[in-house]
Amino acid sequence: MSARTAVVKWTVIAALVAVAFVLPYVLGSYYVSLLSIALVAAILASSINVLAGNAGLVSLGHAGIAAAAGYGLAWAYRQGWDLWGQLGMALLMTVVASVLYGLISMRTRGISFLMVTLAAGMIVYGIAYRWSSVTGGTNGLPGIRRPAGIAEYWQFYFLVLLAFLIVTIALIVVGRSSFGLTLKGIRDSETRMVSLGYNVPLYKFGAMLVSGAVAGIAGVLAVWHSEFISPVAAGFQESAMSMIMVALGGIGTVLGPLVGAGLVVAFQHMLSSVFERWQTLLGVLFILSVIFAPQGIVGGVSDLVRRIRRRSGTPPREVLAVQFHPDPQHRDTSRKDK
Amino acid sequence: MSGVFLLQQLLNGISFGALLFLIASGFTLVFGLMRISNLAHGAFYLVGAYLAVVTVAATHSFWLGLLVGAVAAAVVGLGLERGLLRRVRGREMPEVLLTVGVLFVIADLVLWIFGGDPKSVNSGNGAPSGALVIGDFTYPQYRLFIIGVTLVIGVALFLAQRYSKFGAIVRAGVDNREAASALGIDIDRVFTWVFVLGAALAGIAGAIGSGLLSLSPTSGTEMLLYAMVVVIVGGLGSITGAAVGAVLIGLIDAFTKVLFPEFAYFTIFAPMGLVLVFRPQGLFGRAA
Amino acid sequence: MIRKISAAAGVTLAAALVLTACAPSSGLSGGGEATDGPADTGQTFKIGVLAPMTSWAGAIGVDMQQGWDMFLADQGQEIGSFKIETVWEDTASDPDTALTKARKLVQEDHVDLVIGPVLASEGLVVGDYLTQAGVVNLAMTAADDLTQRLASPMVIRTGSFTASQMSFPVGDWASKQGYKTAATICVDYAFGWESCGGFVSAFTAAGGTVTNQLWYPGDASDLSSYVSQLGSLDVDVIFVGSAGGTDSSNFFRTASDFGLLTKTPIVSNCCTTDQAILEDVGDIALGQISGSFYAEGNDDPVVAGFVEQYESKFGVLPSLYSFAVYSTGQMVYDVLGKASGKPTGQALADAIRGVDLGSTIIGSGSLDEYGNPVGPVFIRQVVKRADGKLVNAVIETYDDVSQFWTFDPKAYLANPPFSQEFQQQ
Repeated sequence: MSARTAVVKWTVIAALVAVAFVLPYVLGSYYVSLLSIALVAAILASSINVLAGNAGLVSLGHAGIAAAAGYGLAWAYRQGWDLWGQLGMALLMTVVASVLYGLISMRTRGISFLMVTLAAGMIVYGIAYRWSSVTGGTNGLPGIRRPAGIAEYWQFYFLVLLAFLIVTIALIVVGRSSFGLTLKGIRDSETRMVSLGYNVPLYKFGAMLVSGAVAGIAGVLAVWHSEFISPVAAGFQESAMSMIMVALGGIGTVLGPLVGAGLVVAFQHMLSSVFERWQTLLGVLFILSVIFAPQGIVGGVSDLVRRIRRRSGTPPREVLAVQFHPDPQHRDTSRKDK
Repeated sequence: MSGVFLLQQLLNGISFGALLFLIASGFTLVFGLMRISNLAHGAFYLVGAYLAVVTVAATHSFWLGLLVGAVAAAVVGLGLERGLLRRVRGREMPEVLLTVGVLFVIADLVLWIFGGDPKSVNSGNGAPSGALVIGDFTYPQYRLFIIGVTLVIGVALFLAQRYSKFGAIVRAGVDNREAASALGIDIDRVFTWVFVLGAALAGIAGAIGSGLLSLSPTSGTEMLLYAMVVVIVGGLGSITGAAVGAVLIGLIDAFTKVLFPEFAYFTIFAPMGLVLVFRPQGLFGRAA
Repeated sequence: MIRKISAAAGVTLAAALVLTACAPSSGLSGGGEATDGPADTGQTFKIGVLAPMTSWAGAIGVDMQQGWDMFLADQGQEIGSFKIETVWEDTASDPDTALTKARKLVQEDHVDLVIGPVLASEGLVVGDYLTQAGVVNLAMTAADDLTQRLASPMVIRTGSFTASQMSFPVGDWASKQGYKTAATICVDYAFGWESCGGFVSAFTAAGGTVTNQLWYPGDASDLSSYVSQLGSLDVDVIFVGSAGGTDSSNFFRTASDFGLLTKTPIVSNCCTTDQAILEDVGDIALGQISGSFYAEGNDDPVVAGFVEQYESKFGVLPSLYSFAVYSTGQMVYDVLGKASGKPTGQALADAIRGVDLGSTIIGSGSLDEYGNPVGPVFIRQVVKRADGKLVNAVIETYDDVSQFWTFDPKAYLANPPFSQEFQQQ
C-alpha cells in the first residue's frame, strides 16, 4: 500500500467514525435507535464473518449463541443480581454455548458445518421455547432495564458504537495474527495444514470461541436495546438474517457486516412501513447479489475501485477467490475421503 | 396402557415418520449427488401443498391435486436449477445462499397469494378417509394410506438407485464426477433431473402432508427443519439413512409425548444432538 | 501493520470517549418521547396500529386492516371535531420488531395512541415501552398479566378479554351440563396455561374434578399421540385450549379421524373454533362448544348488523380481530366525540377507562380499574347458516364476566400467574 493511499484510507475511516459520533446530535431519537439496532446486528454479523472470512466456515446458527448470552443476562436481572452478576451470567452462557457449538462443529467444514450450526441453533431455540419456568416460554422475559449510565437511548448508542469499533478492530487483529493466518491456511487447504502438523479441529474450536464471544456481546446489547428477550432471538429466521447480512455485505471484508446489517435493518424497519412485500424484495436482492456480486457489496465495490486503480500499478487482489473457487484438489479430497 | 393404545401410538409414530421420510428423501437425494444443501426444499413443500389444496378444492380429486402439486414443485425446481443454481454450479456456499434466498421469497409470496389462515387438503375426494375399525381398535385410514404411499415411493427410490441405468449414472456421479463426465455422461443433465425429482418428492410430501397437518406459510421452514433433522440423524445423502432416521424420530416423538410429556419439545432435537455428538456423520453416513 | 492499527484504534477510542463524555445535552436527554412532537397541529388525531402483517400471524393483520377501514368509513374518517389519521406498522409477528415499530410510532409519527399489538409476547413488550413513553396503548392481546400483575395506567385492553376470562364461563357451563370429570389439552405456553387455568378454576369451583392435563408444544407438529391419549381416558368432557391457527385445525381433524369427536364431548377456548379454523376443517366442527366475547353468529341486532355489513363489504365473515379493532375504534369514538380539546396521555387513558361498553359492539359492561373489560362472554356452538357457512352461534350468555371471575381480586393477584403447576385459583 502506497503512502498516499494509506493517508486517503485513514482519512476516510476517521471521517466515518467522526460522523458516527455526531449522528445522535443530528437525528431524531427513533433513527438513533435504528442505528443502534443496525450496529448490534452488525456485531452479530461480524461474529459470523470472523469464521466465514478467516476459516471459510459459514454458520447458520449464531443467533443461538447471542440468545444464550441474552437469556443469561435477562435471567440474572430477574433474579435481582447486580450488573456484574448479570454480565457474569451472560459470559458463562456465552462460553457454554460456544463450547457446545465448537465441540459439535470442529470436525466439519463447508456444508456440514453450516448444517451442524443450524442444528445447534435449533437446540438453543428449543430450550428457550420449552423451558418456560426459566425462559418465560414464548412470552419471553420482558422488563430487562439497562443499567444507569446507558439508560438513555443516545448513551446506549454510544456504547453500541464503541462496542462495534472495538470488536471490529479486535477482529482485524485476530485476522492478522498467526492464529488468523493458520485459519486462512485451513480454509485454503485443510489437508495441507493437517500434513504440516496443525491440529485443525482445535483451531476451528478456538475460532468458534472467538466468534462466540463476539456473538455474546451482540446478545447482551440486543437485550439491553429491547429490554426483552424471547425465543425468536434464537430462531432460524434470526440466524439466517445474520448470515444474509454477511453474505450481502461481503464475506471476509471489514465493512461487510456493517453494510449488510444496515441494508437488512433498513428493509426490515423502514421499507416495511411503505411496502408490505419487503421480505420478497430482500430475498430477490440477496439472490441477485449471490449471482452477480459473489464477493458482496463491499467486495464488489473494492473490486471496482481496484480495477480503476489498476492503471496506477496496484495489482488487483481477489477478495474471496478461495472462498468461492475452492481449488479442484481440495474439492476432490473432500469427496474421496467420505 | 392397553394393547390397542400401544398399537395406536406405534402407528402414530410410523405414519408421522413416513411423512418425515417423504420430506427428507428428496433433500437427501439432491445432497447425495449434487452436494447442495437445498434449503429451498421447504419452499417446494409449500408450492406442492398449496397447489394441491387449491386443486382438490376445485376438482374434488385428491389424485389430481397430488399430481398438480408434484408437477408444480418440479417446475419450480427446474426453474431454480436451470435459472439460478447453474450459474453458481460447483461453488458450495453460493449454492446454499441462493436456496436460502429462494426460501424467503417463496414463503413471502405464498403468504401474499394464499393468505395466512390455515389450509388443508379436504379429506376424501378419492383418498382414503374415515377410520379403520377392527374390534376395539380404530385407526384413521388416511394415516395408513400415508404409510403405504411412502413405502411404495421409498422402495421405488431404493430400487431405482440400485438397479436402473439412471441410478447407475447417479451413483457414478456421486462417486466420481470427473470420471463420469469422462465416460461421456452428461452430468449436467443428470443434475437437473435429480434436482427436479427431489423437488417433485417435496411437492408430493406437501400434497400428502397437508391432508395430515394444516398448512401455513411458515410450514415450509418447519418441514425444512424436520428434513434436516432426519438427514442429520440418518446420514447426509443416504436414502436408507433417511428412512431409518425418519421412522426413529417419528417413534421417539409419539412415545415421548405419552411417556415423558415434559420432554415433548425435545423429541425432535434431542436425537439430533446426540447423533451430532456421538456419530457426527449420522447413523448411515460415511465418515467424513 | 498491527501496531499502526492499534495506534489508530487508540486515538479513535480516546476521541470517542471525549465526545461521549460531552454528550449529555438537555436537548438529547430531555423528552425525545411523545410529548415534544408536533402533535397539536390542528385537530388531527393520530392513531398508530401495530399488526402482524407478514410472517406466521400475517392473516391477523389483514383482518385488522379491514375492520379498521370499515370503522373509519362508517365515521367518514372523522370523529367529532377530529380528523383521524392512521399509521399502520407491521410487527412481522416478532416482538423485537413490534417494539421498534412502537418506537417509530411514538418518536417519528408522534401518534396520540397506539392500538395493538395482538400477540402476547409483543403486547407485554410494547405495553412496557408505551408506559415509559407516556402514550396510551389500547391492547389487543389476551395475556392475563397485562392487566393483572403488570397492569399499567397507560395500557387498556380494549381489543380482547384475558385468556382465562374467556374460559371461566366454559368451565362453569360444563359443570352445569352435569359433567363431573374433565381432561384438558392446551398449548404449552402462557396463553394455553391461562386458557386452561380459567377452565380448571371455574370447573373445580363448581364442583367438578379435572383428572388429566396434557400440554402440547406450540409448533405445528403431529397431535395424534395426544388425541390417542385423550381417547383412552374415561372422562365426561375434554377442554381444548389452543391459540388457533394450524394447531386447532390439526386437533379437530385428528380428533375426527380417531373418533374422539363422537366419543367424548369437547369444549374449547375462544380461538379453537375461530372462523379461519371452521373454514379449514369444515363440517367436522359442527356442534362444537366454545367461549369467547365475540360470536359471528350472534343474532343480537347490533352484532348481526356489523357482521352483515362486513360480509357484504369484504366477502368474508369478520374474524375476532376485525371485531376487536372495530370495537376499539368505537371506544375511541366515544371519547373523542365528547372531547373539546385533544386528550392525550393520562387524560386520554382515564377517559377511555370511563367508556360504557354498551355503546360498542361488545354489547354491555365497563372497564375495570386495571384496564380490562368486564363484559359478556358467550358460550357458542358451531352451527350451519342458511347459506351453508359455519358460524359460532350464541347458546348462552354470561354477563359482566370479570377477569377475576368470582374470585377476590386481591387474593387472585397474590397468587402466581397460571402455569403448568398452578391451575386452580
